[in-house]
Amino acid sequence: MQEVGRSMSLDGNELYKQREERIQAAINLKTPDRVPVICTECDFAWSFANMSQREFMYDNEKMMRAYKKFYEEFQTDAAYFHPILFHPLFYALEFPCQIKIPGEDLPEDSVFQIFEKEIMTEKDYKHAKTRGYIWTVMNLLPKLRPGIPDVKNKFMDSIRLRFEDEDTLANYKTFKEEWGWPLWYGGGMESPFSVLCLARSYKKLVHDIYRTPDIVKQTVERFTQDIIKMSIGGCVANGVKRSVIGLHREGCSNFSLKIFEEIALPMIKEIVNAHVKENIITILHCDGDWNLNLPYLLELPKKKCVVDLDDSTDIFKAKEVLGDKFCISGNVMERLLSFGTPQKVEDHCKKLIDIVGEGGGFVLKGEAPREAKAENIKAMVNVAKNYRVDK
Amino acid sequence: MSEDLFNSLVDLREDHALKIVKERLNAGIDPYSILNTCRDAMVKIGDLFAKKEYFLSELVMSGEILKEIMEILEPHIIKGLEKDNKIGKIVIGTVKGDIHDLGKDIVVSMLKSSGFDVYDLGVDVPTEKFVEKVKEVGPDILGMSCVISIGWESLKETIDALKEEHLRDKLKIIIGGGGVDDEIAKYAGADKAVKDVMEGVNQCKRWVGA
Repeated sequence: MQEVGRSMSLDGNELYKQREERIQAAINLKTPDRVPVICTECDFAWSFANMSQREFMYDNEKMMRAYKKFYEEFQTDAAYFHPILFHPLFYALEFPCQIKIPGEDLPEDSVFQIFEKEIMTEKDYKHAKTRGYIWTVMNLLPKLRPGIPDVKNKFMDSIRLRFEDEDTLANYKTFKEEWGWPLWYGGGMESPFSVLCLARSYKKLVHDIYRTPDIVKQTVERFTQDIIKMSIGGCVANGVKRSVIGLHREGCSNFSLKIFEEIALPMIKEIVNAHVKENIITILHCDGDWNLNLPYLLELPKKKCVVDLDDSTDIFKAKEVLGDKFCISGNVMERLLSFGTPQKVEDHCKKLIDIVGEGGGFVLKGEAPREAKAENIKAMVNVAKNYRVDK
Repeated sequence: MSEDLFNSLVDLREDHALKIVKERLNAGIDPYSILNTCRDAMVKIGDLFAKKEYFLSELVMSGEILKEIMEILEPHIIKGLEKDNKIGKIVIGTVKGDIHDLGKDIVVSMLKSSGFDVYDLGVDVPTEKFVEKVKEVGPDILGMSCVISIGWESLKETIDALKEEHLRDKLKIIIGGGGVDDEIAKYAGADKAVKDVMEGVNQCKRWVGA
């Protein structure tokens, strides 16, 4: 590949600078030297490195070996997930629901899964809407992670470890200075609405919205304050001024536009505006069908967001609606990378670059599951590096 | 048909709908006529969903109100009579390796309210359990939910096992969930892949001629 040859002559810092500039140009709706390409790797890298997901989750040396193999092989422009070992307690903060862990509840080569059921009860709203998100998670911990003695203190330790662990800090340094890979995002959280949905469970939240809408709104508003702080805290800790907000439940495949307008959109605006004050770009990870939600995003400030879409949303339509205002990322999805051929991947990526990449403001993004074929990921990266370069 | 009940249900006015049901029962109205009004309202809600005026959240809330209405009507309905009105039989479950139940559960409640006799096997269902249940109840349709890539092989294994047992030709197979599309349906050997609840329910209704 052209890029590999070029990168051989650059050291880590130079590569980092080059890749970061490429990403920033896309976010600022400019046309970079070529379209940046990124790929989710945490479900694929361990299998590609012939290890189990459990080893990747809990063994720092093996995790870094898997990341190195992935990035050396595919040479994408930014590291998607952070080089941090899995911690079941910290994870409760990102996903307040029960989990099934490979090697414990699932086979070692399985993938980590969340198990959604009602954890937060109707009664829990009383304190949740005033005391906020971290307090709520701490009080749900005995139900979220049953059987762990002194779970609240261990949870607080897990938060400290996340930012102070020596191995983790060394991993970040290796990524940036030695290998030259910027992080795609510094901070990242599920949205306040999505975490409430996970904690209450989807059906219960729907009932709550119809029965006690004001309490739901107040709770989302209160959670938003905490989640903004955590998101900004992550960006400050890593020095990467981009934060992914996981909008897994807000799209019209899950909730009506009325609910989106009244509860989700104000929350999104508040997060984006708080990020803007700190000079942080919000990456809106819009999971599922957002076709009817897209026009609402025009209310957000120009060039301050990246709209990340999967194939449930018409990304070409999104370019028409949002292309003048925001960078768009997407959508080389799991099924194409697993069942497609390099030719099919190439065709799809070229179409994305031709249409969504027209005039700049596009990041080609793949999502690689355990079953992805390496040749398909390579085909995606090759298109980004060679097709319409400098055009 | 009670327009007031029909409109309350379609507008998802829970308290009002429940109040009318109780009043009508107390007034000696035939519970089956109340039930028919509810079914008509559910059809209307399905239409609004198809037109993208209603969304999954409205389907779920209407299902909740219907469940509460059924609890009120249940003591007044002669057991067994409902069974005879079933439009078809379906075995359903989330495939081996996948523990997601949200979408599957919503489909189950919509299938039930559409008149299907539903056998829900839960999540992480092994191939042999699907095969065993299909043998036991002889359904018209097998529905499998698959949200993550790890379930793709499970779909194929299950359908291959049904073929080996000569059960495949006797039933229609529908797959659904965020992890599937036409390509996965082709790979696994299913008849149809669907992405949304009503698309799935309507396909099942078409298959049984309802």
